[in-house]
Amino acid sequence: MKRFAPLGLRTRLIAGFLLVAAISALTTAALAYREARSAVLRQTQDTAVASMRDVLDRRPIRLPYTRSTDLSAECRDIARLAKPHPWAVFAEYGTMRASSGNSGTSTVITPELRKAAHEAPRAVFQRVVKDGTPYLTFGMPAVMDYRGERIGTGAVFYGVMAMNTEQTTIDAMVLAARDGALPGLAISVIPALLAARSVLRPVRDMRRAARRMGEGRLDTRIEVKGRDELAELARTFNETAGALEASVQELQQAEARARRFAADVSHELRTPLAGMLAVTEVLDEDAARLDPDTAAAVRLVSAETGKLAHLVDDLMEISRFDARAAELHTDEVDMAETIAKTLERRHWLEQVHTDVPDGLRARLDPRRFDVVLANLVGNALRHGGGPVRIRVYAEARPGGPWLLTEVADSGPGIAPEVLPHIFDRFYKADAARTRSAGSGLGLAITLENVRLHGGTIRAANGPYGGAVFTVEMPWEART
Amino acid sequence: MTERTAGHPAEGAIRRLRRAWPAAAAAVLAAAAVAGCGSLPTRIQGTDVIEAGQPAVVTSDRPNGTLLFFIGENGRLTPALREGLFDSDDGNAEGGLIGGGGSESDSGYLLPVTFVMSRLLAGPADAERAAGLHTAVPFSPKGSEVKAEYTGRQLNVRFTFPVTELSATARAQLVCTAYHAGLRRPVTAVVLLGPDGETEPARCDETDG
Repeated sequence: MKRFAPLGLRTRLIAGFLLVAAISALTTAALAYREARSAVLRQTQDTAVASMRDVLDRRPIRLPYTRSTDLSAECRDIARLAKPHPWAVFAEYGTMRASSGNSGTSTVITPELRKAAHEAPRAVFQRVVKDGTPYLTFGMPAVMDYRGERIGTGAVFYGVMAMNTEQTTIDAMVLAARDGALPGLAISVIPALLAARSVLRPVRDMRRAARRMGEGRLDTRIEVKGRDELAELARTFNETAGALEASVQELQQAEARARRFAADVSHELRTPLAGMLAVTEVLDEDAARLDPDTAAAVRLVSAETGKLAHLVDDLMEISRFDARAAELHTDEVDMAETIAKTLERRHWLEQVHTDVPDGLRARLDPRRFDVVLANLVGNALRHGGGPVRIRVYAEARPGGPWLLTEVADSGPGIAPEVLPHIFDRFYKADAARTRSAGSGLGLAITLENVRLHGGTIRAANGPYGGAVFTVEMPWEART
Repeated sequence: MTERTAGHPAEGAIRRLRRAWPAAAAAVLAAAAVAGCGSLPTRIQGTDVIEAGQPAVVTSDRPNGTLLFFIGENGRLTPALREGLFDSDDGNAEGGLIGGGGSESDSGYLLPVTFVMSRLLAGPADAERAAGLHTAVPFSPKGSEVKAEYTGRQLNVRFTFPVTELSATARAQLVCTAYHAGLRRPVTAVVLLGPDGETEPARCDETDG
């Protein structure tokens, strides 16, 4: 259900911290920078304009200016007292042009500034960038105080000041803001890591504990530290684990009790059955001399007693598997020889066709393999019908070769709805045929035996009909 | 998650939106921060023309001189201050003041106006001419009569030449010179009168400080 691979918690926390730190640092730095920058510029502008006004205010001049040298003298006087740093002074009067330097006119002063200075009798300034150098240009019209009235003289003085010093100051402020913000960002990684750690450690503990529980160690608990939400989660986890452990234990105990009961019952039945079997043997021998009705009854009792003994044997066998008391006694055997012995012992040699490579040797428990094969072949003969084929072959798999034993019959096969349950205990394929020759435990015991070898067993229907049972075991069964 | 709740398809979309919300917000914030920083100029930038307060107020080396308005080389009205009239140490001025004729009761106020106007009509002096000043008022022969009278605070100046045909600059010269000449102050308006009629009452707007 993952739409995209999300970033880890640690990455997200650090990214969040860095983002917040970056935004606050940048905002602070930007605001401070903007204020400082405009303060620097404003102060320079105000100082320059005010210093020119200071020089000109109440200065006695003779109108009209008749010589441009008079105007130049004023310019030089103004330039001498320039603040905050030297600037050039230009003056306009009529068509007269004068300056504190050698050139009569400035190339920096814009027509807009001159127009504004001439039209409104107010001081004006304009910042101009020319050839990459920022300049402050300002115009100061001179008005004359004449008997209490102000009369425009027509003279305008201009100041032109390069703002290189201010540019340097502003560059220094940018550098300072950056040098201040970057270490701040770097430092904010530390609390981010600490916060991530404090969150991630409990999460990691919990993941480990959950995995251990999944492996079956239900007694796993987490150390609960602190009072936060994660501690609460850990506490809940522990409570859940405790409840789970208790109920699993209860179930296991109940199952164990049930299995022990089955084992005990079959064990208790064995002793009287042994006595009964001995008696029925004697009765079988004498049956011929009894009258026919009594003989039939005696034979029935004898047969049923035999079946009962068989059932009890199977029950005991499966109880041993359940109690994990079954042991594997492996031996290296010749497969063809082992299979032939099994068939011969049960007089099946004529009904079964075998396909076993000569000299094929494998390591397995001969007694248990005999049980497996006998069960499968017996089943095939009983339910499927001949001819029955046994095929043994090897298969290369990762981790070593496997031994595959296939038992196929020529019967109608197994109904699809039966297949999943075929290895269940007491499962009858045909519900109507409740009394079959087998105990109902044959295939279950077969499965347990194969499992004991570390293998599996499959049941399927062959391509031309007939049931096919395939036993798969490692070539060398390990005990 | 959606499999378990098996909700309406729209719910899934809303949930996706909700999940995307914090990421989107963070992205917007980051973008805003970056944009904010990027927009901050590190170089000093040019500006428009900005007002920076009062002009410089100079004084004259002849604080009580006669103020006449001529036309500068740039075509603008340009003031010129001459010695005399209001200079207490100027004998000529006194003489001029006395010499001027006037029968009105407030002749003491009006004599300076007629005196100043006659000096304006005489045109720029040599030094003023050298500075590029000239006059737009038609030359008036010496002894040309100039009379002045007050109507309340309005100053009426009568000339012997026609005034309604005068150019705007010539009228401004006459109005401004008369405006600053009178002793009774302030004057609210100046009217120029001639044999052909009179002008609208005017103020000396060109030189308002």
